[in-house]
Amino acid sequence: MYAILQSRLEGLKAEAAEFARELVEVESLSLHEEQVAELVERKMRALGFHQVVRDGYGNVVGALLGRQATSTLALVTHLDTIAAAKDDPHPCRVEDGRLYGLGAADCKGGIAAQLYAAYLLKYSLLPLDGNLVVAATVAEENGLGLGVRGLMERTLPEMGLKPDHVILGEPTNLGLYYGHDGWMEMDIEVEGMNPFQVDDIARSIATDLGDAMGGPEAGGEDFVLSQHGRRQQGGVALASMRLARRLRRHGDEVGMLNQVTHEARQSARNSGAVEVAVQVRQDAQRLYTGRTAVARRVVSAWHIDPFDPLMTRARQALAAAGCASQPGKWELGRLGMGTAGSVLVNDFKIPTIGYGPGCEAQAHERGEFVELEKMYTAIYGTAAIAHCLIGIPVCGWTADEI
Amino acid sequence: MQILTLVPSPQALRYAVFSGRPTHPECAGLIRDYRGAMPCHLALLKIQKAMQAAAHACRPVTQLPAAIGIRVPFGGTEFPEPVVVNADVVRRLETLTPAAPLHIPALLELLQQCTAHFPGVPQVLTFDTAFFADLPEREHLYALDADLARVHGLRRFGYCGLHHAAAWQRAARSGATRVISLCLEPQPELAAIPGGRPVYVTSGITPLEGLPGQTTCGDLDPGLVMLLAEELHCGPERLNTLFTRESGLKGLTGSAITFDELFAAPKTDFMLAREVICYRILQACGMALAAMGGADALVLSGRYALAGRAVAAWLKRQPVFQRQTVPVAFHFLRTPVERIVAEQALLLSRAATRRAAA
Amino acid sequence: MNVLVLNCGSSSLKYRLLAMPEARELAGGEAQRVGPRTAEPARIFHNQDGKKTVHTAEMPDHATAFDEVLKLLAQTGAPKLDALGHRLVHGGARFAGSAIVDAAALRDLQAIQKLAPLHNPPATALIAACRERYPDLPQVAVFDTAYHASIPDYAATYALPAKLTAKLGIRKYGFHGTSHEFVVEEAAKFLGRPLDQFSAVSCHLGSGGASLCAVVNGRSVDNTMGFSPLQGLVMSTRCGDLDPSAALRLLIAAQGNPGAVEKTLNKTSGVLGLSGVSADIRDVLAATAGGAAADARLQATSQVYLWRLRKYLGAYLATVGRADAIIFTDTIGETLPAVRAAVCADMECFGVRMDFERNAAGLPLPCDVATADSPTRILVVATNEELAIARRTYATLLPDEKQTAA
Repeated sequence: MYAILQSRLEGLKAEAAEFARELVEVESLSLHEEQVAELVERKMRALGFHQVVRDGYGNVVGALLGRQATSTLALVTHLDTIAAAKDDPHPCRVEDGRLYGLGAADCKGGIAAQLYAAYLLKYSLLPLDGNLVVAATVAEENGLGLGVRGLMERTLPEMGLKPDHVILGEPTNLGLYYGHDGWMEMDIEVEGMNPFQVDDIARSIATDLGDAMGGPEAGGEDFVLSQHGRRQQGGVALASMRLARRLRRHGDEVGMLNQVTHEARQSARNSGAVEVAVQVRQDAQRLYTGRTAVARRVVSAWHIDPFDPLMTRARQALAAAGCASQPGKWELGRLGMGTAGSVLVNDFKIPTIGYGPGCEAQAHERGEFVELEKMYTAIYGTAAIAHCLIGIPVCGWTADEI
Repeated sequence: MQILTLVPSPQALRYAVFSGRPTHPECAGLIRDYRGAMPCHLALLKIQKAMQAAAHACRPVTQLPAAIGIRVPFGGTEFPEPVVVNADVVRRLETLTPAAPLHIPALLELLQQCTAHFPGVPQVLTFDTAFFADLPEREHLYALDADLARVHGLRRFGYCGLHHAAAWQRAARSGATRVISLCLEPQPELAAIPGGRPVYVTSGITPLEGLPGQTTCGDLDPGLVMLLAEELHCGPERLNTLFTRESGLKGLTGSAITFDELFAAPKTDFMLAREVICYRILQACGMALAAMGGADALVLSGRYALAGRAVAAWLKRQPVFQRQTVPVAFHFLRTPVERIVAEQALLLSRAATRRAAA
Repeated sequence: MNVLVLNCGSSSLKYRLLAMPEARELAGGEAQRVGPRTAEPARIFHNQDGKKTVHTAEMPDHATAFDEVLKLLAQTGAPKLDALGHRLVHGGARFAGSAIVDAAALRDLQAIQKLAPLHNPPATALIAACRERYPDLPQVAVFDTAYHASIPDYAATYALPAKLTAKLGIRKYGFHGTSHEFVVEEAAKFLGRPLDQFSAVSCHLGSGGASLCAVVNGRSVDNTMGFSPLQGLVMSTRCGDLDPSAALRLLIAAQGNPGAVEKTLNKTSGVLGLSGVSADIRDVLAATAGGAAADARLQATSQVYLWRLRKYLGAYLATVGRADAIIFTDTIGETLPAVRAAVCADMECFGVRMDFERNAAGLPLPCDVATADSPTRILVVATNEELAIARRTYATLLPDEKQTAA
């Protein structure tokens, strides 16, 4: 069976690489994914997915239906990228076996890998027992999972395809990832009559918070405080600042908000005329389909048991397919990154793992790239895991003649 | 009147064209990697071209074959005899997918492509399991919980039926009624056939059970499957590869050899593997003798039938064969499977034509 | 020499005190419900001088049960014991024969425990406890696998990658060796043949486990059980032979959990799985003896059971070549003439002719139920594993006198 997959993959490599290049070439900033969504939808139709849907959020969903449809595996990635740095022209190009361009690693290489993994199973004529869903969602980077939330709440249930497991195509460098830390952003507002006093209080809050939470022992990247701004509104002076904090565990959000509120109010306790308010940053987002939604700037930490049956079976499948894979977690080198895992695992209780061709270090970096060989391996590896989870097992049969 | 035969496997698609009485093919060949880089429609295009080239050599006009005979490794109990493909047959084939996931979907694609390339030509399917479709319950049941066995489709099917059927006919022509049939293919198989109906066969749910093959392990203590899963920290998928691709002669000798090479090798090479194979065959013969209360003939068939002469000579020397008051007759059958497929295709397509005419 | 033979079950301890080499039974019995407390108290059913007595005692483990047995023997004035003979199911590759338990042997015993995870650990723990408490009492471990150490490589080798089988010690070990060896010796004596010129197929058909053993010149050359006691015949709750792909399918259905499949194949398969009502083939045969009226599923169960047995009898007769005898023993083999008849009928091609009347007559054991002109004899012999263990123990401790013991 693995020989068939490998052999069939040979015939698909050029096509998959070309598709990945097209994906990278089309700009798809968060909330502006329409063009790339169309591209993915067209490809799914061309490859003969049994169902293809573009939902009201702009997510693209393709499904291969299994014989029994007793279980469903979803392969999930996101369509959007962050904005490129102004001084980084970031042209899309293939060079030395690498596909360069904005979103190549995060996560367009992953989209191509997952879509072609599903197609590889179909093309290899390996029958599936359960359903295989491939979904590329919108508003991941800027909308904090607005797309995946809509996918899980509305789109998949309407299609009758509630997933039992999910594989995220986010960059894992072909490792099997089972979670990551979370983070949250909070807005701190200081309000008073005397603009100078307000300013002083704001500065001491910044200093005290920095001392309390942002010391060297806390790890530099776990605490980011953006400098405060000042405003005058009628007779009221306002100073605001924004604080981002790492969350180690799911559910730490409330405690974190309380802690920051307490610290900030402590700094202002001797100035009776000043009010200090702390809240989770949230803003309204308008998806490219026109739908609007409020995004709370919280990504919960999530993880599944590294010995969860999903991890075990995925590891076994990759080993059987001859693919090396290291278990691990995303490091989230900079706050502000995250995956749909927090929504899927914490809110929808669906066992989720990550397996993708990109490298986490490449995500959101200048000169971002994905190695094409790794993308091909991801196609093969994802197909092997998917077959292990929802395929009709090939027991006792050999690829040799009987 | 031409018959095209197709013998597909996951590794290659073998084809042969027979003209008139199927004795020697007019042209024959093998298309590699037809489950891989060589898509099915291109494979059939190649076959078409080869047929045209052969036709130019033999006769002036090219024409469509009268029938296409296709060997199907698995038909379960659903297909106890060869059939001419129609919509109903396709639907019934589809239901067999879970039992033979590697073969049935590929077969359905092949049938589609055959229709596209050879429109209107009847397609005759000959099943390797058909000969065993009526295996007695005592032989096809495993000692498992009945519900569990039903849910997972765990029953003995028996394979290589085309060879066994031909072996039976060969022995019956010489007057034998209790026949041991040893089919020496890459996964060898032994069956006991009293009066033309098999009552014992070494292979099981799949061809994996029974005698070890070139790369397949054959019988194992089922407890070993669990032990290996634990000791190697691996899943059933890896074990499947271990049992089907890395075991048998390859596992025993460390080299990927065929049965021809095993028996042609100098005495000192591969000694253990040869002893293991001969010994397992001897025990299977003992089972067949017990199953039939004796044997009149032993037929060796399959592509390694001639290499089997060494096995036959060894068996004849064994006391259990020596003690038979009427010696067991040994036959060697060299009929390639293509010819068996072609004969059946010819028979069935003629019958179909007659029915259509009537 | 008085040998106390100990046979550990998972929650029982059988014992017999035998005076060797004359094999005179001095006392015997069984401690039941050894282990965690159950609804009924743990008891020792003791048998001495024709008297049966029952004693209640706290026996949280086999070592305490052993202490209680010793106390009981002292109380009842049984003769003092000189040696202990322990039955062990699995000896692995390390123990090709019975062994005097010294520190090194005990270490090795502990190392091979996982080969028979249900059976070896309690016996090994008991041996360790006995060594601690009675350091001067010689102990001998007698292995079910030991008799099969003579199985040649070509019969013991699985067609798996050679490196793998070498690394993990995978080979056919075979089981029930103590019983097979015992009945083969008894059969040779009964027929007046020297053991080293005696060939046979021995059928140990227990109500739980069952296996066939091919014997050439007194030595085991094959056994239907394999690496574990799961392979081969249909047993009460064990499946016996199975397409390896079936185990793989079940493993996938169990999400890769080998323990669950192990349990299915060991505990809910075999006669129990097939019949759905009883794990005892005697129940099934009794229900189907009448013929037409019986449940189709029970009919199928007895058919599968007998057919597998018959096929293996054929295979092993072919292996042996010219068998002097077929030997039936243990519960099913000794008490069910119908089983013997079903597998020996129409076997003339192997030189086997059964006298069906004699077979059904219920003759005292050992007996010969073949026709007078049958080249191969068909014997029914009572097995006596405890006596066999006592003989091994005696012979191991006094190797020079082995001949007189036999």
